[in-house]
Amino acid sequence: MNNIAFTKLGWPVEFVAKGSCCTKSRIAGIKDTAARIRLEGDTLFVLDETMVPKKVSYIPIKNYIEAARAIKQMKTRAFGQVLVCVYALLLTARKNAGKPHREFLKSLAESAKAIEDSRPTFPFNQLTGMVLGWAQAAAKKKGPIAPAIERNIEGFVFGIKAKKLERAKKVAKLIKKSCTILTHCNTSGELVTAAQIARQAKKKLKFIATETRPYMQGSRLTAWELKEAGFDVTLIADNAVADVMSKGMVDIVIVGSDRSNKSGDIINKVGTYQIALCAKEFNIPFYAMTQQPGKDKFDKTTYMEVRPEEELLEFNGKRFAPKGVKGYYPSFDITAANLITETIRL
Amino acid sequence: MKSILIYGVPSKEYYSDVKDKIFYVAELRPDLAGAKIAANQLIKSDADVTLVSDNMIGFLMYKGLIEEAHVFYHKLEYANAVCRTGSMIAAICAKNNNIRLDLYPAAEIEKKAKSGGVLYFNKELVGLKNNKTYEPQYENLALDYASGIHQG
Repeated sequence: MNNIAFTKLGWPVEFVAKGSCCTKSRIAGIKDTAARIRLEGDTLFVLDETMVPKKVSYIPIKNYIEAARAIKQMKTRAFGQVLVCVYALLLTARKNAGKPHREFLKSLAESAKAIEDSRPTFPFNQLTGMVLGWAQAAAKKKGPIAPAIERNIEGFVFGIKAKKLERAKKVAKLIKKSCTILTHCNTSGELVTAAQIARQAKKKLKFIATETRPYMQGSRLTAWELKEAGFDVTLIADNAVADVMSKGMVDIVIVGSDRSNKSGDIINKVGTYQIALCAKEFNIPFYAMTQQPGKDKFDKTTYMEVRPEEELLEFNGKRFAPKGVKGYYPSFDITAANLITETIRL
Repeated sequence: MKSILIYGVPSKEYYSDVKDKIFYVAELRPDLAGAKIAANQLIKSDADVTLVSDNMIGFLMYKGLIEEAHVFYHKLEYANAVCRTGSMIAAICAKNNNIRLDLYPAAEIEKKAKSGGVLYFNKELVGLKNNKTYEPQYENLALDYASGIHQG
């Protein structure tokens, strides 16, 4: 990591050194599950997470509008949406290459806004602000903007993957020699990476994954990823968390997070808060993987994305709830720092 | 109007006093008895009903959307009530958010959920067909969590 400078937010600015230790963003023997995203020419191919595990298929995305739609519809989420955000801005940059700076920056800002508005709870503005900052810096130097953005995004993506690997190593260290880990939602493969590192260190692991209604990240993504990597994983309904904890079936809890703040509070998929309460009740360590913390305070007034009620009341387009019943689908909840044993920061 | 969380499937008698209240009903995976039976009965009794998934209970309480939690028991034993799995979560959340939790009689014991139920949603396969599952339908809820116990 010696040759990467970091912005105030902790993102790598420019990666210029090749052949350094930082070119390694993988550990031998660690298998990746399906790549969330790949860029081929001017098309972004994004893993459709709503189809996994029935089908591993990719959605072609050619512009920021399609990117924002994919994010809004949760075709991609978590780390996948981070990559879609930055690469969508890269596509805008390439389309506007050669245009006058003012026009270029306006188009980029429009793209940024569309992505920020796609899922308001996620701090897309940290990512878009970073890319717009690169663009403005290049414009100030009166140089071409698109190549500057391209270069910096390449460095950013490489750097973030390296940081995630470092975080996975720290998570692996938390895992004891023999351990059953309860997890909620999906961490875009990072928990699997941590588990593989732990397994290489001869640790014996089992997993309990909550299904994570209504989107079913646990059933569809987490259980699939862990099984693909050869781990023992048991699926439970979200309502069985206290039961398994009370029976001594869980050693630790590890979750991801969508946002965190300097106080150590996190925002993560709804259901996380009640898992943390149960973990506290049964004296089970609760760990959260976090990112660069924001300055915001989290409390009852903090805005939380509320998804359309149909996503709760229907399944695969078919309504199962009785007519006349309303639905309420808050996507996230807040877990205060006092419920978290330790955060493992990116 | 008082807002109440419903966890479990109430007995017939419960539905006689549901007007002027707002009900948040936990769907009760994997068989969705909360959605298909409890919510259905409440709607037929002209109640105001909002369905939530079982993982939203803590958030509802944290946000102040719930004033009381009503959990339904199938059997009362010495120091415990046999309730639908997830009742413990409701109780722990209620305790941490200073919300009153009352126990009421449940509808007669339903048939045991078919094994593999959590792999399916409304009879559609969700994840991997051969994934291991753990699906306790009931759990013992310590009576200490309850502020009130209503007999049948």
